[in-house]
Amino acid sequence: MFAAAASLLGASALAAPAMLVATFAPADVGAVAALGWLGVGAWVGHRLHRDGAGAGVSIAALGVWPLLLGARPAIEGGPLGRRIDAAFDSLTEALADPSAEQVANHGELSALRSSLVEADRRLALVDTLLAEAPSDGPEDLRGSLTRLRAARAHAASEAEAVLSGVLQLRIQVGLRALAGDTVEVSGRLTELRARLSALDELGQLTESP
Amino acid sequence: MNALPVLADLLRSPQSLLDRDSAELRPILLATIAGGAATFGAVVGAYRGGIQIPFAAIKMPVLFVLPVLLGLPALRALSAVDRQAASWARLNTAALVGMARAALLAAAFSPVLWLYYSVNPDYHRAVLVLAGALALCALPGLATVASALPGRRGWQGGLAALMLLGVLTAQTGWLLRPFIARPTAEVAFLRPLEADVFSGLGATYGTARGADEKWEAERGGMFRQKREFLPTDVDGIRDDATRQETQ
Amino acid sequence: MDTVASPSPPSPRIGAPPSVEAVDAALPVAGQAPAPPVAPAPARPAPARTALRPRAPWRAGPPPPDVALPDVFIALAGFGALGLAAGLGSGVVEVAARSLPAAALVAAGTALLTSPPLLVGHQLAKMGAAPERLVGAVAGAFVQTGRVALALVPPMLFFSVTSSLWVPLFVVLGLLLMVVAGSSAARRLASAEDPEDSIAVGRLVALVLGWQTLALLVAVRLTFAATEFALLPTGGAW
Repeated sequence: MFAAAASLLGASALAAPAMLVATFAPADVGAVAALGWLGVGAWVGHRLHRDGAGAGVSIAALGVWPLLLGARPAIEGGPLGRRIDAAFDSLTEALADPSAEQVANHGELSALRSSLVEADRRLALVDTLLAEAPSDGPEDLRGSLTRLRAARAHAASEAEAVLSGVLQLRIQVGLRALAGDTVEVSGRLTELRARLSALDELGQLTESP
Repeated sequence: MNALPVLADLLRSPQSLLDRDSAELRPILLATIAGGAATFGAVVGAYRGGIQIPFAAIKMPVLFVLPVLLGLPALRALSAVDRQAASWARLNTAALVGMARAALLAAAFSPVLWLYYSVNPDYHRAVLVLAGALALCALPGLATVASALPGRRGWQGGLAALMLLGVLTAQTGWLLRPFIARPTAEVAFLRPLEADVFSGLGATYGTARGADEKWEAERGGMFRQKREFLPTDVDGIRDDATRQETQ
Repeated sequence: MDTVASPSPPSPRIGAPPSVEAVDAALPVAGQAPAPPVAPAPARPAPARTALRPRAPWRAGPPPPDVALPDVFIALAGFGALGLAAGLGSGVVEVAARSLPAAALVAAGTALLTSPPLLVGHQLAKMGAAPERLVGAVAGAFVQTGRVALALVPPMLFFSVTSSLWVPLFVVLGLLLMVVAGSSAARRLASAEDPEDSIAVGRLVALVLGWQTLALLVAVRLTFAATEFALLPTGGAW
């Protein structure tokens, strides 16, 4: 009922800016719209160029910037990057099927994917640190490196396990559609995120001096 | 990245490109759209020749891109009713792949079109053949875009996507005309906004069949200004003038 | 792994349900970590012959997420923006400005005016879903349709600016939105009912058909009034 009342209020509120536009509309709406489009395109092109895109793509952004949005930046050096993309794309497609029902919302999937991507980035950072670390050094440094390697191995196995869980979820969605299983997909996603939260331990380890 | 395997995949298995890194594919796809569409446009402009060739070559890529820009959000929203929506990243990649595929097919069809135009067909028939060629090349591209939309890919969804993008493409082509340009008309980069594509195509079809009807082209949309074409019924005008003199 | 409690008709796409061992064997090996344990699902009783099959188009599912207030406002903005985009085709700015609230009020008014009869009819038919789920179904369909309306603004604006087809196109898009709203609402209302209750299926069909007929008539009536309001500056001409 509150939503209904809010609908009416919102509809009335929408009329106010419309009347303002009617009174003070600029003479050449088309020119303003075109300038706005080019302005956004220039900004998107600048961002793309900063992220490593070529000059041609940056210039093309002036006209076709909506088609260049939303591209996921490549995960640099992460060992699980492409597998994460593949797993979530296939799970999203499975959940999008009408037979799959609305068992999980986009927000839950995005949150899990973000956590997994973050964990993968940290793995990449640690791999870089380990690769650059000297093989001979003081004893405390060697001790820290040993602890870092152990934590890295643990984090990698946990991330792999969560990734396997995501792949299993896709199969379970199919089983649910076929046999009417009452798998709590949403709860499973929460479970996987909780498992990933243990990887914060690795982040704290890499931040310590 | 080598472009040739991408171009081969565009023709053989465009679906495989949807799962690849879009950042690597983008330059190749954009270049394919621009180059393929410009080549097709140049051939179309060659019907009139002269300055019309670069004019059409510049406008043709816009004809390939603008309808997709306008219609993609609607396709995504319609496919997402009561189900998970496709990700923008995947849909944008599918749109670029689809347009590149259409542009590549159009470029490949250009020699056939050039051959037909080289025998100097009637202007109205040339327009209809151009419309048919565009539809033929655009269909596989539209199918690629539709394949990226989630959910059951029934014929209703495909038909809706085809109709929406087809109508937008038709009106965009009308907006950007002339591509072919009448042999006796003055060449212009763009004509003023007049009527709409449906009445225009109807008049062209009627004229191509031999009908000799007067067509009133009103200025359409937000910028309205009534304008009449020269009447073809000269005898009718003479009779009217005679009647007015005798009254 | 979950226990498949009862057989079900084979899906034309998936085929026969795989065994648990086959599923586990097909998964890629992921490092050295063991597969995370999966909570076993509670066993479901075998469905009666007269009850809905699990793959019937109308089957109960988890309650859809509550419709949030920002979603309602976005939907309203979508309807209003579509009206504004259509009104711009008239070439009169005041008509366009009036079209914005007119379109939003048609959509909101249809939902608000037809919800009470739906609730009353549902209770009279002694159906099982909670009234809150019915209201949520209507609100969810409203939000979904509003999003589609928002996405249709670019094509509408394109035709309004470049042609005189704004009226026929607005009519076509309006019909499309009615179809979207009707199908979304029907699916959500069906998901609110118990699939085991076969008697409710017949009543649900009758209720949904009747409600959607009423909604169509109300929407058409409101559209006439809204059109009259929007075209007032031009004396009714377009």
